Amino acid sequence: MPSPVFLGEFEHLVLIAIMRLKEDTGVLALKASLDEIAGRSVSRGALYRTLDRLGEKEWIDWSVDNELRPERGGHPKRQLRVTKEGVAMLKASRRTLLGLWRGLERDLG
Amino acid sequence: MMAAPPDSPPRLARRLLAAILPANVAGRSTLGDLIEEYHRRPRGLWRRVWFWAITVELVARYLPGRVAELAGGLGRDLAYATRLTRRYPVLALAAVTSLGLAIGVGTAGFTIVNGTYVRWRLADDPSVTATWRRHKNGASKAWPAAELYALREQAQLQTIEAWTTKTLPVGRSGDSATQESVGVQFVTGTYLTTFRAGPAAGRLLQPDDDRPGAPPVAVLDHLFWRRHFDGDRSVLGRTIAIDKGVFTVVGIADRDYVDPARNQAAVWVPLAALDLLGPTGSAQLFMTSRIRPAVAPTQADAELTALLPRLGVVPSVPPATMSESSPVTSEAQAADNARILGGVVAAIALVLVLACANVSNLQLAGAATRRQEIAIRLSCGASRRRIIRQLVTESVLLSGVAGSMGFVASHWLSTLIAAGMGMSRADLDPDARVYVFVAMATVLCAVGTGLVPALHAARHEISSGLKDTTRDTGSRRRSRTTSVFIGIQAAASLVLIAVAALLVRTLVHLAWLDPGYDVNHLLTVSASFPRPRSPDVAARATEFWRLALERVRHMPGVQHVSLGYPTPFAATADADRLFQGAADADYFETAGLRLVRGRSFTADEVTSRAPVMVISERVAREYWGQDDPLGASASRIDKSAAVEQVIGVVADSMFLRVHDRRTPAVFRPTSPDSAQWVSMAVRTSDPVAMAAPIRDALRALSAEVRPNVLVVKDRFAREFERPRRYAALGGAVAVLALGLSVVGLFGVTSFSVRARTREIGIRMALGGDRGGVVGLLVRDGMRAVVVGLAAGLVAALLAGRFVAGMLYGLSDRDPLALGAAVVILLAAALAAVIIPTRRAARLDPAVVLRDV
Repeated sequence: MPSPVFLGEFEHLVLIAIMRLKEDTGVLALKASLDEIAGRSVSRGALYRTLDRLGEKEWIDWSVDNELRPERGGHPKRQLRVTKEGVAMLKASRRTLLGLWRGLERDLG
Repeated sequence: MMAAPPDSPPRLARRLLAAILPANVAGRSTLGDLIEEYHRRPRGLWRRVWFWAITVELVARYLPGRVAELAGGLGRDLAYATRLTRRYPVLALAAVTSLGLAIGVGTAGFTIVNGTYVRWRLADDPSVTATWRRHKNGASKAWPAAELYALREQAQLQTIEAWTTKTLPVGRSGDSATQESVGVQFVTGTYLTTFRAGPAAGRLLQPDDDRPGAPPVAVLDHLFWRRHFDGDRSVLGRTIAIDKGVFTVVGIADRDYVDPARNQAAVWVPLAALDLLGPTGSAQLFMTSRIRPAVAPTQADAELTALLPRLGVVPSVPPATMSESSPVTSEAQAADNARILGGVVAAIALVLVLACANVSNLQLAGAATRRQEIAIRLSCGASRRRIIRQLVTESVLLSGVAGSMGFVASHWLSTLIAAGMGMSRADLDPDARVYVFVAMATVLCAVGTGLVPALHAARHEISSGLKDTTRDTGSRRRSRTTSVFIGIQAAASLVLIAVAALLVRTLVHLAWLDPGYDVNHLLTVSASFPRPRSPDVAARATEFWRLALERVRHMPGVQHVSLGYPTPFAATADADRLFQGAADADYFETAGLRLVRGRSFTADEVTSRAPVMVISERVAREYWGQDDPLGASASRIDKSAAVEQVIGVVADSMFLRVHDRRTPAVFRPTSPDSAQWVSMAVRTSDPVAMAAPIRDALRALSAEVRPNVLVVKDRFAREFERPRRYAALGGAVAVLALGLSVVGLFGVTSFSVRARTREIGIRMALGGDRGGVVGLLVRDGMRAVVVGLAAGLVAALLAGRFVAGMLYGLSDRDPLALGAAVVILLAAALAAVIIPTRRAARLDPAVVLRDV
């Protein structure tokens, strides 16, 4: 039996934030959204390493905007999206969390 | 790429990010995000600071991953390279042997240079120290202790330290088996600290140690401690026996301490300890001073000169004059040493270049046989950078193994070379500088041998590489590079062989040199007489020699005895100066000085001190030219000698050192005046056996005269030591160079002939005769060698200057030595090219064409 794959807390946040993005799904828009959700400025280092990891696990994917923009120093821009595997992982995680919460409503007050 | 708008982020930070972020679209996009964010921020210093902060954060995040990736890659490359060495063992063995030998010889040379010259150069600045000797009536005298201590008290511009050295048996106390005769320096308590010694362990000597009655203590030299006590620190606090005294070891001087007089002792003890040695305790004291900062040596000199007359502490001794003796060798010797040092370093560099060129060529040839493998890897998506890294890693592996082997070999090589050079006291244990040298030589060899072949291999065309590997016709570029390497090898080898040939020629030259007198059966005895200024010294000397001649003449085994000057190796002055000699009637016969023309003195002429003169051939040549000097007046030599008549001419001889030019000399009959400075020449069948009896017999004649007996044969042999050592060393390096060259050339020719097997087959199938084909291949193989030889000849002419100081009797551009080097190298190269070529040409063309 394959070992279960878990979704880390920050990975969870990043995947949800990507799904919530509408038109611009670039990393800068993602960071702004994350800052808003988390209520603090997330570290760029942590964000980029997490995106690398999510990409390696094939939970996210990106298309590349190769338009040469001077304000980006001529570098390409990624438009992120969550893959089907990523969505399935989010759903499974959500189910697990809801299952865990069930029966605790009274304790939450 | 689009130009960045003005006020772009810091360039260095951008470069750092580009290097550390993944080299894919994600990495490039990340950099783009950061630049975009930078431009969104308000202009000013803070956004640059912000960009740097982000850069640092990302570098910290990505660096561990990158390092692990690189290390993992290197590990894989190394494992692959190890497997490859098993697949091509001959290639690997040849490469490792070449590089190992070169690194070994190079490290051995550097170890010796490091143990001597480098340590001296790094030692306390010799220009601020001076060793003073005291002279009275022209003779070197001891400093009376009281005078020396008074000077020490009063000198303001310099710190004066006193010392004396004795060779004494030193060992663990109570264990006479461990005793060894070494130099023990008795010094003032502050000597070691004044001359900037430091303790490697324990402490140095202190002023209190030098008080009368203080407990006897000793400080050990680092090298002596390592060799004699195996570097055992427990020796501190224990006692050692020095002659009859027992001393407590309180410290070990640091390894880099070099004595200002360059006369390194094994043990330092306080001057006060001289009293412990009993009757032998008196000694001549020397003083060495360290000039204080901002004081010129001339000022220090003037201070001492001014202080001396004012001392007055020893009224019985007349006022002393003094002279400074430079602690280092003379300027000419220093320049000579520097040239020799330069020569050694150049030879090391040449051997390393030679080995690198050799291995590069082997690698280049090896890479040709791996074209298919490299092409497959390229076609599977490996980048050329990746291939280059793989091939350089292989060189690193080979060089690493060779470096380790070389380092081990250098240990006994350096001992061997130092013993051959008579440098038994050199510190040859490797230190940090030697480790750095080995590491640098290994890295340079790795890069030097791997980079060029790797660049070539990575340039292969995939399509041609994937085809049949046996049809390697050899790329033009690779063959050009190979030719360049062969040329470099030939040039480097020629320089080393030419230098060795010069040194060997010097040795041969010396061996065949006619010194002008009978070396094998000759003893000379010189004598120093006390009170040389007293009026009766001439009479005392005449009487001494009369008795000496009488006594020695009747000793068994003595064939001839006579008086004369100069005797072999007796003179100490300029070889070109005219020597005013003296001889009795038998002197020329006794010394074996060949009479070329005329006659020697008669006994009557000596007794009556007749105005006659015998001159050397050089004097005859220089003063008379074509004229006949026999019967002529000696006025051509000296106007005041007009009454003297030349009666004979003797062969030129050498009275100083063997390699000096033949000394011009005139001989007059011996007289009482000459008795003080003449020597006795003794001709005997066995001079070595006779030396001691003659010395004893002469000592018995007078208690005050000190006879000095010299076996000319031994002294003559000593003259050959240095050139013999240089020739042996140069010869060994030359043989190594020749070996490396031949192996390299043989390997390259074998590969290149194999690559041209098809061409050879076609040529022969089309009717080309075997000789013609061999000739063509040999011409191709030798072209690079000949070009290299031409360049090497020019370099050899320049290199000759480095060894000019080691040459005797021949020019540093000696055509015979250079010619011999060219012939040796050409012959060796020709053999290395012809053997594989002839083998290829013997193949049956039909078989060759079918197989390829």
